[in-house]
Amino acid sequence: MSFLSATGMTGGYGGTDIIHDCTITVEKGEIAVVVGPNGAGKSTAMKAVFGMLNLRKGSVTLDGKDITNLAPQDRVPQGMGFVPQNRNVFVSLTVEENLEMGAFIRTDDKIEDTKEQIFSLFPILAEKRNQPAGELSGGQRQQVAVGRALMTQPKLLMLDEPTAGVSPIVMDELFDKIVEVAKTGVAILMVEQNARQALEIADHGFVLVQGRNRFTDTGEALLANEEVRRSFLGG
Amino acid sequence: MTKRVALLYGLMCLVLIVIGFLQSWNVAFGIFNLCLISAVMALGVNMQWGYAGLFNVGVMGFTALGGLTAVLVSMPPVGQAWSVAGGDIALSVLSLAGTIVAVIYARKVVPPVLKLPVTLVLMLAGYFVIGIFFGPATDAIESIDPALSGYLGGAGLPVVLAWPLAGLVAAGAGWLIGRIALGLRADYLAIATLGISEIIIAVIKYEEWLSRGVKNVTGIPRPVPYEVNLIESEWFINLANFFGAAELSDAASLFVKLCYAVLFVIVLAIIMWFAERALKSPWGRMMRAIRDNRDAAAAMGKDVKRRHLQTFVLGCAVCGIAGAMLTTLDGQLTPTSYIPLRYTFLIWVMVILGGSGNNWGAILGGFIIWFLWVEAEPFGNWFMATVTAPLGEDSGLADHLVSGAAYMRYLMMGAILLVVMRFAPKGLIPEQTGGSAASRSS
Amino acid sequence: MEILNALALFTNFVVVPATAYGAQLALGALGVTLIFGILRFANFAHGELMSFGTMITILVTWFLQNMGVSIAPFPTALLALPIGVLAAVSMALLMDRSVFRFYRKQRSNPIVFAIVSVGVMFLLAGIIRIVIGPADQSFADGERFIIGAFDSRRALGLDEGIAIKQSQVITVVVTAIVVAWLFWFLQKTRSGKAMRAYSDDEDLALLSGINPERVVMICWIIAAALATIAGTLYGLDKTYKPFIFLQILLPIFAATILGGIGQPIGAILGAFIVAFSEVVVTYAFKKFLAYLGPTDWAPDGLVQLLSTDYKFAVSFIILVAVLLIRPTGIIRGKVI
Repeated sequence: MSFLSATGMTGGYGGTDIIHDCTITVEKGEIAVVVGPNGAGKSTAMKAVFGMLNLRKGSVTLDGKDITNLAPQDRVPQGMGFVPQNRNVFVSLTVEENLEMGAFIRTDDKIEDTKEQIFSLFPILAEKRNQPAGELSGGQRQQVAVGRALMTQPKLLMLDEPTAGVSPIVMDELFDKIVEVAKTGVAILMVEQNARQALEIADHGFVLVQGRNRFTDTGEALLANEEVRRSFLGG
Repeated sequence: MTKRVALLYGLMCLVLIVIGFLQSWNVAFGIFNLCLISAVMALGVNMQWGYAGLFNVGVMGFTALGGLTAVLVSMPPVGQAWSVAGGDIALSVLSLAGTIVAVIYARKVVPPVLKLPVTLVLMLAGYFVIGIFFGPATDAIESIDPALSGYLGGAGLPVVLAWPLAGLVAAGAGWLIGRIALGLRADYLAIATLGISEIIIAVIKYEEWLSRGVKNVTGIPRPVPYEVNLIESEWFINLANFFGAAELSDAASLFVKLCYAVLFVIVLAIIMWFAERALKSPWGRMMRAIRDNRDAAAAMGKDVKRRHLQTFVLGCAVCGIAGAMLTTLDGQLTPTSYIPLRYTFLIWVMVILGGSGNNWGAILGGFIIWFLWVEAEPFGNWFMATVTAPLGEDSGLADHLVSGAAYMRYLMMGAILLVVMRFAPKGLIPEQTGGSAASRSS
Repeated sequence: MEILNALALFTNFVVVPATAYGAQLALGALGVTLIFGILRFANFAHGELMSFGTMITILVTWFLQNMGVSIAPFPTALLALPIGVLAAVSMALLMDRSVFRFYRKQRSNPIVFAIVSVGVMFLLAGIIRIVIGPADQSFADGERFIIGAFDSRRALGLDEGIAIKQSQVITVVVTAIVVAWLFWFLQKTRSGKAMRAYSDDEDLALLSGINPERVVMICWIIAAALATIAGTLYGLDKTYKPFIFLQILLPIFAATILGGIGQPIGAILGAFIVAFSEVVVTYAFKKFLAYLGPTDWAPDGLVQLLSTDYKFAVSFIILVAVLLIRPTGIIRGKVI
């Protein structure tokens, strides 16, 4: 069984289901990317993995443990870190305080070390550590958001469209950082609008259409797949 | 649904009839009249809260404005005051008008940066100029026979005329405050209305030339006969004999109360008719649509702020009418009696208990809560006396608690509000919904 | 010399009382702004909570006075204050558990919370009036003046003295200590930072593992403690009247909105602006101007902008100005 395995997820917000029998898996140290057209249920699938959606069917296991019925906040101590798409930093808190809040549930004394690791991963944050996060640029905010999530030392990091609204240069930079994070052994699950670039760094890709798995393969294979390219990557 | 309404109204009537038999018909009709006025106030608040979801914490102010209007319309003018200070008053009004014109003109011509400072300077200057004429005028007015008048008096018109006028005055005040506070956070309106009501009370309390302030205006002319005249009229004596009244003076005061009741029922019926028509009209449906989903309504091109302002002003007008009716019934204006717990928050308990958004509910709430408010006092006394009985006759604590018994009614109102909000947020007579309002988050 | 006299006069009648009043308002406004920031509603019961805590303090003060306990020259009320704080905190937590928590779980509209707080206001108002009655109560003892008008006149060699009441000094000192502690708490401690984070973004705070119930609890504890301290200081400085606490809501709300909702620094700033405006606008400048003008000259009128009867009109005008010009307040607060 995979490190994260969300299998057969079916559910939605109101009466109607948005995702149907959807399966997403990630291995340790790997990057998995969920792509698909608008309204395909990408973000919904991600939220379902994190427990922000009531599932009618299906199960979610992390490291072999069934977490299907845990509330989102209870999944954090289990080793899940989540970076929402919007409102993902505490705007009036400083960068450093944002990171400290990320480590709120930790009781060990290694918090400072993790913070230094994050500062070395995102040097710009070290520079702006005493500035309120609300004053940073979009790309820097995303770094704060990722940093905040990493402070819990998650075994699985989930990112909901981390590159939404940032420039292509910043996007490349962010993707580089994400690859670096993955190299430390963290499993990464990411929903992306910029499908091509995301699949380039992905070990596994999941193409969702109308809430169902359409293609599942390695990132490389998906990029090479003629149909995927034509339908979802713009040729 | 209608069965429930009939049942609840029937029960309320029955309770009043029981009071009539047990205590006296005078007491019953005394309560009934105030119930009617409370019902009008509750209708006003229900328009704001029930139709539009606006939290008005200044009901007291609009009620008091209504009361002031009743005085200004019905009391005889004090000729001497006008002859002494009329000139200065006229000059004050002129200076006020001049200031307003100057401010408006200046705001048009000066560059935007200077707008605020220039406005402030002009307003300050105007304030002082008005003060030059106004100070002596008020002193002169207030020194005329202070024990009896000491104010300008009113217009000497029939007091019933004050009721619609009170609606207009309160609507004007509501329009001003609504313009400022609507369209912002919902709680800003609450705080702003809390403020304006305190200021209105302060004006009535301290502007003696206008309202005699804490010296109170008494003897406001009635729209109904006086008891002293009744007991001397032949037709009334015959009438009383016909009904077999034991005490003529009791019968007279009951007759007066009945007359008031008839007037109030007419007013309540008219307002109710309009309120129901409005609620069932396309306008009412739109109001509820805005209340239930403001963003969606705005997206459909509804001018939310404008609609809110309309409803708010209408609700204030109704509260003003009720205030004028109350002052008419009392026959006096006592500014110190206006306290927010009684005139603002109590009305809220009425609306919440009766059923937000339902006019029949608001009226029922007005009846029940007023009845409980009045009857809570004897009940509180009895309760405290019973509870403290074991403490013995001369216990200081017992005396203290019994003297505080009147405030049991606050506890009761708090408990009612909290219990209804928690367990029956739709109230006794829930709003009739087309489905959409059911999704309201409360 | 004349200028110095004018300044002394101004200090005595405006600066000193306004500072004390501002400090009292600041403590109240801090509580309201914290509740606004964390629980996201306008707490109409806050005035009555102040009143409740103060009432308990007064009862304990009377008890201590009867027992002959005294910390002269300081007022006995300071000794009783911790018990008043404890009582108000317990009451606030009780009300939260039994009333507000239900609506929090439902994620109710802020207006629903505000209406419910009116219910709590009724309850507290009833309890207070039954227990201590609706009349004025005096409980101040100890030294009345730190610097008397007469002494200061002699010391300064002026015609005008500056009298400073002990209650005013205690107010300012206590407020300074409490505010310093509060800012230290909010800026430096884990719980304080969690409160700020929660005020910023509830959902993200939840994702970070911050326990909302704990944050709310700390918020009530602080707000109730500040309310009791503010009420007691106000009572020592002026007098304790149950009905005043509904009226004092207005300047407190004005200060909160002026400062920016959910902004502690803003609340303090707002409180002092409201207090100084109120005192300056209602102060009669006649004597002050007489000192500054030519000898043997005095203005005709009192030169008072507004009669003291209208002092809450000042808060209201400030409120209206803020709503018209900058609804977010001085320090950008939460608007929607």
